[in-house]
Amino acid sequence: MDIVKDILLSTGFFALTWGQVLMWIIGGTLIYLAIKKGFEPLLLLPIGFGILMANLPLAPLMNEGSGLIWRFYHYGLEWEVIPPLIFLGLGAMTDFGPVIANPKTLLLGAAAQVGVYLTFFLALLLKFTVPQASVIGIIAGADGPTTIYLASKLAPEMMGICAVAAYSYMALVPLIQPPVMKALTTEEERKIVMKSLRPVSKLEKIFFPLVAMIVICLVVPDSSPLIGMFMLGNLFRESGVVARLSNAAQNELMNIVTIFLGISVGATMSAETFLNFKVIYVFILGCAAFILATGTGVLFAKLMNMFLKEKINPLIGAAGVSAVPMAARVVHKVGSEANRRNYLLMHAMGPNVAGVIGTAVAAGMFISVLG
Amino acid sequence: MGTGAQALECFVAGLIGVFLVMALLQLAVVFSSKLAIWIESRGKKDDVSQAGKS
Repeated sequence: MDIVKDILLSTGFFALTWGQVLMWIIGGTLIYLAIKKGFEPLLLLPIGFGILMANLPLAPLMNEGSGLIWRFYHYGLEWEVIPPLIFLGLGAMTDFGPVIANPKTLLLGAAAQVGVYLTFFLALLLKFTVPQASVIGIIAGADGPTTIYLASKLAPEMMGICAVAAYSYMALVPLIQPPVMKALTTEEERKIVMKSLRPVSKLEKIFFPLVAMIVICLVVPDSSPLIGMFMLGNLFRESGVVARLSNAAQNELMNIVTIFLGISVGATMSAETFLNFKVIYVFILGCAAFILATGTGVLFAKLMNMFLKEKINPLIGAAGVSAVPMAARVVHKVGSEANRRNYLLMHAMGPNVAGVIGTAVAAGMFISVLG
Repeated sequence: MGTGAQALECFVAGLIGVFLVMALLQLAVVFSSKLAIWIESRGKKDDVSQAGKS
């Protein structure tokens, strides 16, 4: 009889808590959203599964020093390896041509980061600590790897929830942004047609990652892990002589690190750390972050128009939140609704990729002050 | 340093940093583009003169 009792007690059933069951439901919901609704499936699916695995009672997956997923988390995220590798892949996928053709759009990438700092203050008002508020603020940058990177440096306890909030709202960009864009612009402004971008030569594209890395890392050295890898990936792409490395960074490496990133982030979301009222605040602030970043981008574009001879369509300011290329597509759609002759996609790609740089720089600034 | 002062430092340093980086990057991009176009146009001129000599 004792043997049967021992066997039963060694199973997870008797150690299961309501919190863990609730986390299964949350993990299951993310998996459902990824599969059924197509919400950021590359990330939300492994994150959802990671949540399930991290909330299995008695399963030694997250045991410090020996757990399998703990090793992924420790060596991948705590050692800050995975986010820079993701940036390497992103760099290899990014075409900086629109930024080079119209460098003014870099300022729009900076303007959207004002949303980061406004959200940061909102989080402080809700009694989050300064490092936690910085991680919540960076959600406004709509850049998952940067959010995860900053959380791993400043507030690891916020990593899971902030990553889920960032990726969830990124999937909702087509719903969140248009009302803000329309509220802050007039019909006439949305109708502004921008001149086609000039062609950019191969040599200009090769110079960009070299120059950008030096300039950015000189001003904000703490952004160098992300920016350095981002620009290396881009140089792979633009040099044209290392197609194998470029392809590996875009495909195999990106896919492999995405698996480890998703599962490690999901595994940080145990019932003990996740189930509290602050999680609800993070989701509210995450939504506010996207709205504020969109708004500040559009308003800054309107401000720029006061000084520019050749007006820009202020909608492209909304693409300053990273979410590449979704935000640029939304800009194009809203612009073409106002004027069918309007083709804003390539114009919006400028602030869009500038937003990726801007978010990494904002994260670097937080680290330099708080780290 | 108090929380308020630290938050203010994050805000001010962050905003200045982000805009400074983008402004400098804008200048650097303009300069590097001009340099690239100049190098390319010089290369083309050299090619034309080589072709003329031959």
